[in-house]
Amino acid sequence: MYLEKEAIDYFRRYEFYLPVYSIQQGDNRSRIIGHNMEFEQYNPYNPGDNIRDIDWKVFARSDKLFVKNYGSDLRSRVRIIIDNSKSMAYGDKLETAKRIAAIFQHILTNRKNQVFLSVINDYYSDYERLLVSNLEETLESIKTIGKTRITEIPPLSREAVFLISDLWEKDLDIHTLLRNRINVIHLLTPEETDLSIHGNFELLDMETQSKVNVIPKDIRDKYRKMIHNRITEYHKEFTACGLLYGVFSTDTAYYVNLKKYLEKIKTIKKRGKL
Amino acid sequence: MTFLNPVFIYLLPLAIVPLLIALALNLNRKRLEFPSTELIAEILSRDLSKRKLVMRLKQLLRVLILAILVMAFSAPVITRSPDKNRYTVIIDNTVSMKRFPLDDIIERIEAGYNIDKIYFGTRPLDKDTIQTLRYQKSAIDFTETVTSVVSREKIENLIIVTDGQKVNFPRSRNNIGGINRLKALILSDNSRNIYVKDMSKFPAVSLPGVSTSFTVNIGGDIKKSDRITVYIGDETVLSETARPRVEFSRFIDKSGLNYGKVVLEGDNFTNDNIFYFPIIAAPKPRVYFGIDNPIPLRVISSIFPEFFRTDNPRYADIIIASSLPYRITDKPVFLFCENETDFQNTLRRDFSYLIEFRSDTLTGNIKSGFEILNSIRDFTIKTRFAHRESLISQPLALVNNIPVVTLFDNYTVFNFSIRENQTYLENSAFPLLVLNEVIISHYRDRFITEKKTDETVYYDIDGNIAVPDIPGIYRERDSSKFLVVNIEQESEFDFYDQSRFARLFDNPIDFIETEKPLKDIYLAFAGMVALLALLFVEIFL
Repeated sequence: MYLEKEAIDYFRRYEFYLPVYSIQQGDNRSRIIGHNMEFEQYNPYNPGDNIRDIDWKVFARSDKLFVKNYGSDLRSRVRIIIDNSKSMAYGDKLETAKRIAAIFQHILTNRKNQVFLSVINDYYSDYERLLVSNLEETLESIKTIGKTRITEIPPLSREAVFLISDLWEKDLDIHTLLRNRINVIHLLTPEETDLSIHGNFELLDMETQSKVNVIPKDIRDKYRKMIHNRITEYHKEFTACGLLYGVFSTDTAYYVNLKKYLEKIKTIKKRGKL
Repeated sequence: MTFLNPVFIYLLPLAIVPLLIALALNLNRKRLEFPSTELIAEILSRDLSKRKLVMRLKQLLRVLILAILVMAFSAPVITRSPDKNRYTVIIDNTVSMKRFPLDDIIERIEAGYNIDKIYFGTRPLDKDTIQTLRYQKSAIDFTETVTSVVSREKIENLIIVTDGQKVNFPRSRNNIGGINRLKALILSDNSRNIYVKDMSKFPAVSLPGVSTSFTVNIGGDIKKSDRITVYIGDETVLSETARPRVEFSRFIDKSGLNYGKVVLEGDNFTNDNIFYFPIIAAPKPRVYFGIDNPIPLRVISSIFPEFFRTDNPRYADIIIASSLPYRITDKPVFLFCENETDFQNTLRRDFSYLIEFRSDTLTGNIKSGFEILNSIRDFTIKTRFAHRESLISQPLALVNNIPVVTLFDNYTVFNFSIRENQTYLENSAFPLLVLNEVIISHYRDRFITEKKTDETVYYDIDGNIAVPDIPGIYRERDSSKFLVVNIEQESEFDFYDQSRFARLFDNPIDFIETEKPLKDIYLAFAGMVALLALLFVEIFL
């Protein structure tokens, strides 16, 4: 079971807004300005704004022009891309990714969002729309294979895209992700973040099969520093582009991480875009 | 380079243990699948050369520390490069050298140098007789030995072998003369010795009713734990902590010969320190006085508190007379020239010695074979006769090179009359000392013999035939006299002071030992530097 009871309970009274990219209407209250009946906010009138939105009562009182903005009930299309390259087999990362996808699907579907699933390895491939009925079966069918190739992800417009990956790709260019407006859930094990393995090892790269001899304690400090720098840099770049980026450590419950991750949506200042 | 403890050299392969451990760790490397080695490879490629260098340095230092440790235990010595000159070797022949294995030393020198001749003291060394060499007991200036050999033979290149004990080297090699190359092998060890320097007793011949005082002088580096035990016969007469001078007194009632031993006990001694000594005790002597004068009587009573007088020289133990009716051969005879005719007849009869009487007055200091007589100064005496030049006798006391007392076998002949010198002799210790010394040596000769070189047969104390090589008391078969053998020990075995010897040489480079031990301090220093370097590498690199 990928959709776990604890995770469902954890998100039971949780509400969040997800930006929309589709025009279908649903329950999800979008931050995009629309024309439903719910008043959202006042904005100063700018030329080009619809004259019908001007609140004449306010004008009468203050002698200033304001436009009334209303919320939108548009439904969103959300695509979850799971990285199922071989490196994801380490520390059951793929299983965690599936669980994240499952609970995410649960939350989104409850708000009448459409959730689609894709996987990325050497190639990008789409699965059918994720429904409660086919959730377990679909996730079950995903196995690790090949290497991660982020560049294979095609441009996905009018969809909120979430990539669950460990981002282990040689010479990874995150601008591909930024360009395609892909939000990232960066899934790492403590061994990967801290190099907390002890002894004298011949490390075998799970994707490239290249070998390296190392005594981890000799390079641990440098490794930690490098990975920290890399995460900080990713965070900075994604935030600057108004995208979500979060590191999910496998030693913390995935639904806790996910909640924290989704909370960040509120901090995205750029209205209407995610 | 050679090693004093070569056994440890076999442990030298242990120095590569750190390398083996590193190798074992490498072989024992675990294979692990890891999501991505990209970052690790990047770090390694960046630091690889430095890391490898540090690792190699660490391993090298570890090996070095172990190697130094092993080397320190194996006590390396550096052998010098071969010298093609031909050398003459002069070996110190004083007793203190006895503790070193001479054959080994010679072998080592011959291995390192071209050796022309080897002298043991002043004599050429016969290698076949190395085991039976006689060492000089008396303190001889080794420099004189060297000088005499060098002046006798034309020696250009010289190696001196000595332990530096009681050796006074001159300040310059010019004093030795004609030497081009002068090398010295200074021997030393860390053994300790205390020994009986000398033992005296007073009176020298123990007398009945008189307590005999013994004085033992102990030489060497005496420690608090050292003990002295003195036995006379089987009886322990003294047992106490050793001191440089130990005194005790004892009544010796048994006349004739007895013997005792001084046993010194302590740690790290080079040999067993037992010193044997004879005790000669005189019986109450029978004395024949042929001179009607109180002085001989007084002298005898000074020497012997109790004695008998006898009228027949045949039954006397000591005879004091001016003439004798017949030849007496086995007891001390003191002949004073009181009556010229009788005196002349006695000497002519017994020794075929004719006298030319010529009265003379002598004044001067006494020269004598007896040490104690030399202390008499401004001695004045009226002599009675002139000695012939070809004397068969030996002068015992001389004044101005004119014999005053002469020994003719057991006869002690005085060249003066007591009566004529009455006034002077009454206040002089001269007759007392002469009689005392002669009587002592008489008793000594009667009981004690010197070691002879010929095939004399000796018995040990238990009556078995023995070779008197080891210290002890022996009895000569033919004469029944006793032989006292002690260890010939000379000195306090000091550590030599190199600077003292280095002064000898004009150019200190000439002062070369055949083997130069690498001092522990250098090894300790090298080990410490390696250890510090390892710590530095471990902490900072």
